[in-house]
Amino acid sequence: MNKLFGGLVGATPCTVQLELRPSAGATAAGGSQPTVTVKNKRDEVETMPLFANKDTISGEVKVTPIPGRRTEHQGIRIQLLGEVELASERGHPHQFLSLVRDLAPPGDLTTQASLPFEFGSVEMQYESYRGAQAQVRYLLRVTVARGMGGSVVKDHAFWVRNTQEVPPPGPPIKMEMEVGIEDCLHIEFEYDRGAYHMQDTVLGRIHFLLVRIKLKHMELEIRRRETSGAGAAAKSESETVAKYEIMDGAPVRGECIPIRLSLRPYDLSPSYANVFNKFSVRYFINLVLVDEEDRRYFKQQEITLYRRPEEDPQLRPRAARLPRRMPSLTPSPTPPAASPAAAPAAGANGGAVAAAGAAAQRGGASAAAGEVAAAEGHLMPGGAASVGADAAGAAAAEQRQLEAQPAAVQQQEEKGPPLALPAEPPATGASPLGDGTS
Amino acid sequence: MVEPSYAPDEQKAWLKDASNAVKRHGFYLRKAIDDDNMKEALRYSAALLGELRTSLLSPQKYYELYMQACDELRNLEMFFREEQAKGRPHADLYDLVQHAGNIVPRLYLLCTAGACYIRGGEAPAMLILRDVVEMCKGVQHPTRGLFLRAYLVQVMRGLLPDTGSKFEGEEGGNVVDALEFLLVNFTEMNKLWVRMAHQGSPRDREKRDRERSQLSDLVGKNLTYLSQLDGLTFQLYRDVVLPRVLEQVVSCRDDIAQQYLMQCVIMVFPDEFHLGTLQSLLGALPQLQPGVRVHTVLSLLMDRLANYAAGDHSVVTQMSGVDAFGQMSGVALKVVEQHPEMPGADVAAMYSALLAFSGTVYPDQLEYVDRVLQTCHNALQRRGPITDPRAEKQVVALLSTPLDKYDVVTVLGLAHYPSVMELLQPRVKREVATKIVQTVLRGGTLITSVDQAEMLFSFIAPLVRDMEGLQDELDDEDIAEDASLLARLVHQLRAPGGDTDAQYSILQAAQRHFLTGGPQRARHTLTPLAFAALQAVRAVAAAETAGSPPKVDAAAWYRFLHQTASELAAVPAAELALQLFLTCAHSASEEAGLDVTAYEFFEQAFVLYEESIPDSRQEVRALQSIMGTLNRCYAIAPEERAALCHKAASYCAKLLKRVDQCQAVLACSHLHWQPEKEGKQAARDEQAVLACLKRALKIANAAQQQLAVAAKRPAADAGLGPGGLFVEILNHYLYFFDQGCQQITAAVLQSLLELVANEMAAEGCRDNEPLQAFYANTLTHIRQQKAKGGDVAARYDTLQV
Repeated sequence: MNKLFGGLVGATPCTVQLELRPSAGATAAGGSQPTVTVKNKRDEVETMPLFANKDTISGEVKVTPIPGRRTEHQGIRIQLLGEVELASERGHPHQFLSLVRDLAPPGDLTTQASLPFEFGSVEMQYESYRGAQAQVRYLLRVTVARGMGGSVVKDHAFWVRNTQEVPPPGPPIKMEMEVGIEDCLHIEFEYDRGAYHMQDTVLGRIHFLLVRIKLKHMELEIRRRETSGAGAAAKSESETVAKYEIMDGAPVRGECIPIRLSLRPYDLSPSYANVFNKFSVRYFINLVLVDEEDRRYFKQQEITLYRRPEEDPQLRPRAARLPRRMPSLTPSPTPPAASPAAAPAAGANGGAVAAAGAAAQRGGASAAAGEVAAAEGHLMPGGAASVGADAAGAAAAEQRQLEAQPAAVQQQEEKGPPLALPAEPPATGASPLGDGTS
Repeated sequence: MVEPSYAPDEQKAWLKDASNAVKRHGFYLRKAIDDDNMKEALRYSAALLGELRTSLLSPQKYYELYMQACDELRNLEMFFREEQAKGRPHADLYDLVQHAGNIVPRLYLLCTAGACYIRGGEAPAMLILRDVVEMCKGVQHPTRGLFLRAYLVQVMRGLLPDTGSKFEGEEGGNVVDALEFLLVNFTEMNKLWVRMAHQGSPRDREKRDRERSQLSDLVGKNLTYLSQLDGLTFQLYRDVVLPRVLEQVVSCRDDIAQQYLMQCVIMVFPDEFHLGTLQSLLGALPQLQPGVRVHTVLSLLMDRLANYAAGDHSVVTQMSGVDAFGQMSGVALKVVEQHPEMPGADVAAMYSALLAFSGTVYPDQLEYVDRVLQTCHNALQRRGPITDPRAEKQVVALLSTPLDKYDVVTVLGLAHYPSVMELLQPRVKREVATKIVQTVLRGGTLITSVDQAEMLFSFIAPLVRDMEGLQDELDDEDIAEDASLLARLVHQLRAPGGDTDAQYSILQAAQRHFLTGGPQRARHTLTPLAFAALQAVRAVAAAETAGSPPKVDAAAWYRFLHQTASELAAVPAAELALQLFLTCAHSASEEAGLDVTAYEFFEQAFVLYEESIPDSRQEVRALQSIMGTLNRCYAIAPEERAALCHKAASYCAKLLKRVDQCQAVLACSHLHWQPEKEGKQAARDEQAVLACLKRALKIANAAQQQLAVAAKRPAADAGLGPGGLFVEILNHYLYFFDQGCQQITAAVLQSLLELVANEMAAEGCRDNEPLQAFYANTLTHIRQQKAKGGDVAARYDTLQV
């Protein structure tokens, strides 16, 4: 078709360029509009301008006709669109935002036309997001309308991130957990808070009250659960985005293992409770204990992730950069009376004690595969030889549960090592050791 | 994979694989460092350290791998140190290394980065130390955890906020924080170490224990570093370090750990600290596991303190101040009480150490020794008789220790020495007794009173007499050995200041004891006893002559001697007894001037001669002795003397061999010719002398004829043979001639000379070289006398040779 018409009217009657002006905030901060690099599904890196809610998005559209030709059009307009697209309904995005500015009335173009535009204080409540099941995207669409389907449409994607109010930190998550057969393994674990910002560090500890089984190791996982649909049609998929070993060997009764997990190296987003009634993203912190027969015991806790205003690391006081720990536990174990307090919290978080078995893990086979692969890739970056018992154990676990594993591993290897953090320098001012408020 | 099999050849292969991987990653690590590529450096160091996650290697092999990894880590540490100069704060690095997903590599990196963080002065030492030591809890696997923490103390060693260190400060903390760090690490390491014991099957327990012992130094390093802190004052040690360490040691309830750590504590910390904290240190001992060899720990401590005291005298007062001895013995007692199953050998060893300690530190406090013996006795008694050879050895050592350190007699006087000794088997008792006697002899200790003697004899009873259950084990040689020891001991029995009365009672006691020993021993023991008595008699006699007779007079002494000799005769040891009687007779006659007594002794000797000397050779010897003694006894009255002489002469005739007869008769001649002695009346009877000589000549002739009858030449080894008798007779004639015996004139001599000359020329004598030499010498004597001039020459003048 294009070829046919191209002979008559040319492939593209005109080229459209879009130039954005730095928003007010960016100007104040000293210059150009900040950008963000995002990986797409094929692991290609895209760089996009970054905006936030209530930003004014303005700029100039330049429409250049093919030199020496006259381009006729039925009007030029620019749209600002916000869309939610679910993987299950590819190609049918739901628009939650659509603003239009007419730039030119119908007419002819012979020379380049510069058409300034401005969307003032745009309400962009949802952040851009690219997940496995859903995405949120924002774009500026310039349309040079022409008859007979010859309209020229040009999309310019941009990225939106919204900093949030710091939610109340909430009480520390603390609960007791009994796994396996009764009187076999009884632990009490504790995370310092229920809400973390994305550069934060999760602090906590595991207190072993009773250990009758031989543990091999223990790790923390950060799991992301995307839920699309609602009610009976709701569909959830989980993936493990981080895997972090926190204990090696078998502890004995009374042992207390510290947890300090930095969230910074991982590719996380804030928790989204409800995006346009289409989907939600929730994060869980999963404590996994593996015994010597490779049985896995785990316990999942929801945590809230939020985005906090960036701050300049240079301005932070030195003391705030020092390592933080949970205050040491008092020698005497928590009296049983304290546990009821923790129980409702457990219920509220919807965490059910899960014992060994693939069934409980069955959130999604491919996601689980990704989780294992993520761990491998992280520990032994770049496909370095994976040695040791844990690798063997993990492999065994994989075989039990996961079919899609080889592909997942391959994909992971392409992604490269998350440990190599300096590749993405913390230009955004991420603090190395979490927040400085404490 | 639950429990690695640790097969040796597989081990080797695994280690080789792992160490190759470490080398490979190490190579890339260095390359990354050269390229100043932190990302790659971390990646490869994590991979390298990942090799340390293995569960396949035995601790020893793991150690090799660990050392290799540590070498590589040094490169990384140098690289980390330079970071700061490049404008990249260590704080970032410290955070960055924690992104590693696996805990073992992560913590190694954390330790390394933490060390640089402190060294660069960016963070207070105290804070980082606390952080790292806490984070290391994540490794709960015993071997991996031990090595990780060993690495931690190693890298942090110079970075502690010790007093005077540049890391000390308001923020950096002070020595208390340094202590805290080491103590926490120590505690954790010990827990891991102890946990190793409970892994795997009980079958491999021995092997595991061996492996654990190999790792002991990793744990002990913490204590060593603690002791090396400049800021470790006594107060800190007493109030912080020791209580914490001891609590950990006691609560871990593990034999190997407790044994090693207690010894370690004693070894690494200075003496004065131990002295000051003796109570708490000792207080821990009774709480240790029964399997711990507390005595080695205790002896180690006591040895140290003893050495300390030996080096510095003021320490002794200090020790008395804290009642070191009392505390130690208290602990020993408690230990024994709490571990009733503790073997006797260990009990004895512990007490021996205690004894050695008290001997070194309080050389003058004998009561301590007694107390030790008492408690030891109590402890051992409950364990029944000591039969275990090891225990026996220890008890013997225990009993010997004070013997070496103190005066034997004093030691034996201790109330509880005998009771401990009683616990021993008779055989071992004999051993101890031997040791006691030997000590007495070696030290030249004198036993100066009856009480002492009685005591000594009661200790050495196994030597003195037959003991129940011991007879079968001893052969004659053993008994002879024991008896000869006793014989030597007799000479140590000596009352002070020449007090013969006291000496009398001592010897009497000895005699009483010796007589219980049976003939086999008496044979050896009575003779020295008699000679000791004779020695005393000399003093008694001298005192009597001087007019101040002691209470026990000579007569009593001779009674004693008589009894002793009679006992000896009853053994029977006739020859010995006879000699003893003669010696006594001589003593009685010459020293005390008691003629009746002397006669009695002679009489006994004669009786013995007649009744108990079975052998002709012995007869000859005995007769010679009798006549020799009689010759020297001046105090005997003439009639009695005549009787004795007569008897002796009659014995001569009764001898079997002519040669013996002849020689005896010759000797008999001297009975009638006592040499001159000042103040004594010498018995002289020229007629009798001549008669004897003539009889001798007759017998010599008879002997000569007998030889002809036998028609044989005298055997070559028969000495001078009958021919020699003539020369001997000539010699006697010459003697009496010299002495001025009137009956022997030059004419008599001359004829004898001719007779002898004929005999010498005879066939039988010509070839007998010794005889010819004897004869020649005799002639030479005559010539010399002639050449002398004066009276002598005048008498010899007429003699023709």
